[in-house]
Amino acid sequence: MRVLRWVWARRLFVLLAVTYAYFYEGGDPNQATRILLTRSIVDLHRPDITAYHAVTIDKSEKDGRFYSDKAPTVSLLSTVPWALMNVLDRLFHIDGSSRAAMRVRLHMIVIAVSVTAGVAAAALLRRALVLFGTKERDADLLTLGYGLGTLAFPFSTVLFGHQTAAAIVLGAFWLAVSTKTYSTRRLIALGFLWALSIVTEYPTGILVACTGLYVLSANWRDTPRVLGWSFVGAIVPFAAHSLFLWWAFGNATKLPYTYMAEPIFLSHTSTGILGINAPTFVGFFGSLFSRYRGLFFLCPFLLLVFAGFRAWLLSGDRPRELFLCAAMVVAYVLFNAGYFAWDGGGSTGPRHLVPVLPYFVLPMAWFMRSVKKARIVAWAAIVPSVAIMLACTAVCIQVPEGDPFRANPLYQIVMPALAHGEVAINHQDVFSLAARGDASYNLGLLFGLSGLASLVPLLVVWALLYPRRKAAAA
Amino acid sequence: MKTVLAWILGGIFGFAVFYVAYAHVASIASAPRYLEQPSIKTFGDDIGLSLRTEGSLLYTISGGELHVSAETHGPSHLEWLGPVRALEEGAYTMRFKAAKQAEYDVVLGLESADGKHFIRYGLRNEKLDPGYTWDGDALSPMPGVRPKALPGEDIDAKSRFPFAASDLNDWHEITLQLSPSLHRMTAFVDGVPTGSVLTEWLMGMPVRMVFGVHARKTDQDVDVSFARVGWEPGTPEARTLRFDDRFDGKVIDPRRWAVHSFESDVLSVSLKTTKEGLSTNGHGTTQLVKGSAAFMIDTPAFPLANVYVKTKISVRQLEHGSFFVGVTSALGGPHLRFFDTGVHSVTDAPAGARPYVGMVSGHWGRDAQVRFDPARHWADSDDVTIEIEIDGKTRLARAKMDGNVIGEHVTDLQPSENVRLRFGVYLDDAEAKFDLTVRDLELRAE
Repeated sequence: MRVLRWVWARRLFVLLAVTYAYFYEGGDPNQATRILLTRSIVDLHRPDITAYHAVTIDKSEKDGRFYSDKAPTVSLLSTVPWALMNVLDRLFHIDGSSRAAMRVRLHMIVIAVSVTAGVAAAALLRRALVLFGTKERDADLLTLGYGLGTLAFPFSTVLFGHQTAAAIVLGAFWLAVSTKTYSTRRLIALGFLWALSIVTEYPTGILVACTGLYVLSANWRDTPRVLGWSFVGAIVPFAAHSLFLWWAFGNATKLPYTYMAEPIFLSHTSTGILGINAPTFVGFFGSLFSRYRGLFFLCPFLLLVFAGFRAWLLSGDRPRELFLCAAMVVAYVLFNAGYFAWDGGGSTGPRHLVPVLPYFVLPMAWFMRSVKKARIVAWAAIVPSVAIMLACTAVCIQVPEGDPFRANPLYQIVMPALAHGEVAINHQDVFSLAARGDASYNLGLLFGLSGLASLVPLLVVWALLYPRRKAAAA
Repeated sequence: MKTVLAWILGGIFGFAVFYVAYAHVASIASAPRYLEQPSIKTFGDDIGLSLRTEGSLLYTISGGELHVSAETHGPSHLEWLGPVRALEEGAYTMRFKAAKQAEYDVVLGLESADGKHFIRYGLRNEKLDPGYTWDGDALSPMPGVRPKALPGEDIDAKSRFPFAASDLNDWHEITLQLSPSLHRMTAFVDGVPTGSVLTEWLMGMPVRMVFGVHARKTDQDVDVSFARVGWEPGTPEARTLRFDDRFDGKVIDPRRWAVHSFESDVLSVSLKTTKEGLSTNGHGTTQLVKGSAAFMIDTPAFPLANVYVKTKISVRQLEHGSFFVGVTSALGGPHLRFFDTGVHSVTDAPAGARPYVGMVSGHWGRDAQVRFDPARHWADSDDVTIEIEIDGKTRLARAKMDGNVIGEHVTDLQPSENVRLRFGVYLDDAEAKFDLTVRDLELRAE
């Protein structure tokens, strides 16, 4: 009973968990290369994916062997549930080679890694919002906006590294801002999370640098201690990462991207720093405002970031945290605008921005308490954002690449599919190179509901689980 | 520490319970779709299929046959639907007899599990011009990115195969060969291929077989009998291919080859199997403003290992064009890689040589750019032998013409990558002409 009460008190996160777990998004080269590495490590005890490489173009090649080209952490984390499922298959006589079971396997890995990360990020964000003085019911609303009205929603349903990195960076952010003095244990934990986020998604080093400077700026004279203990915390993730690189490539410092096999990627990753160059207009406009991948076009809720930063600035409250959030947002947007794949390839929105999205939401805490009718405005922004994100997640996250100024996948692909009553139209499969008509599904479809009706159970869950706190109780 | 341990154990327990339950429930919910048992349905007391009906058509079962008849009072249909299955390679068959000429269709096909899409082939019976036709939806992978069907492959533009008056009251068998790996459905009537269409009905799509009768108008005297319908799964996706094809049968084997003919306003193509091999000729028209393949014939995809290809062609005419044979990646667009060889027409052949020169092109150099080798060997007769050898381990690809090596490269095609063998003719411009016979093609891919 206590457990049920505990869960009910956190039903917003149950809502998010059920929502993220509701969708099985099928495959794409990015997820494939990660899961193939997991499979290779557990089943073949090898760091390369040569045995399975033909089903993905996202790969590196060295000395005639193929490797995952991604930071390995998500794959390494996935080895635990994969190995556990191997054991369970034997114990409970599950035919792991059947099509049904193979799909369930990938789905369970996504649940264990990305869904958990999505829920953890939402929980940490809500904590930070409350820490920054947001009322409980406003924190619920903003958390809902983040969890369902931003790219955190679709990318919590797939085995990419962005949402996992977002949760880790947010954990470090929480540890950094929730105290003014840093104990040794906290510094070790910070170092661990910083390193873990970097080896999960290398570009989050930018966010780590911002948070690191924030921690150092609390007391510059404490710099050696901060660096020392956080380095101690960083040893395990960095050592594990380096050991993997050494095992795979015979060199602990060469990142997988260095050996990129696919020329269409190699032509860009071999420029600048692994494909990161000076920001471009098309990258900036495209990732924020375009109909093609524009963050604000797909998640209008995030437009409140401007009102939030304004209200925060005017309040004079927590100036260091204000500077930190602004720096993280600006630095990461600039990074993305300079990255050759700013559009994320086959993606909903600019997926590389996923780790920084919580810092778009945090400033809204000040908007909520400084503006009359802020909740109405927030709801008005959240509802269309949630509708768009639900549509994209239900139909297909991996929408094709196109012209940044003319393509409009939301209205050219997603909405027409919904208008025809079609959901789960991604035909890329993790286990087969050939397109398959059963590559993706949602739980409603799996259990016999068709088309839009398959989303009804999810909407019922939303209606039942969203916490309705009274204003007076806030 | 105790709390952390409790969380970890609780997490593992929750994961295990959820996985086992999910795996079983998902298997129960979807595993029947993947059972690939052949089934032949003859008609006893119980048909055992779902019935969908509208209008005045009636059915009876007697003597192991299913009879559909009625005097219609408007558009009517009577259809039987099989169980939902994941679409795989295979064939539907239907044996039927139409007794009278009237305005109705006898159809066999498949429809999506939600009933929104269908593709059917069958007899379009009518008093003046009865024939076998296609009907339905070729589908596309995504709305908004619908690919255009190639000329001659559009389901809406398929010509009909005639049904003579003497065919009435005779039993006929329609076979619908489903090849999602070749993106193609091929129809046969009484064993004779009557056409194929390009489709995007993908492997794994939940579909159900449908057959029945559609009366299009009122006051039609419908009288149709069915002796059996069946489903026969095809061979799974090829892992190796090994055959020697002389193209001297009545048709090109649809299990081995998918024919892409680009016959249209801009070019003309004729493909005909003969005792000597595949006889093909064609030309560009004034509307051909840039190079285009005239036809291309490719195999199902197979994982690249060691490949040996040998083809013999007899060239009667080749101007402003080339004959090519090669191995290409199954992925298209910017991921396309190939290794091709063949002969290209020239106007400045050395004395004593025929006006065809060996040609090698493809992707090598690891930069995804197409490269061409310089001309090395001119044909000394109109009969040319072309060979390709690819070593799956070293990726070394070697092209030979009449036994002479004309190109050797480490190809960008990757070991185990899904590839197809293809051959065809490419036209350079409006003045292109070709007339040649592919006499033999030997493939060993294993």
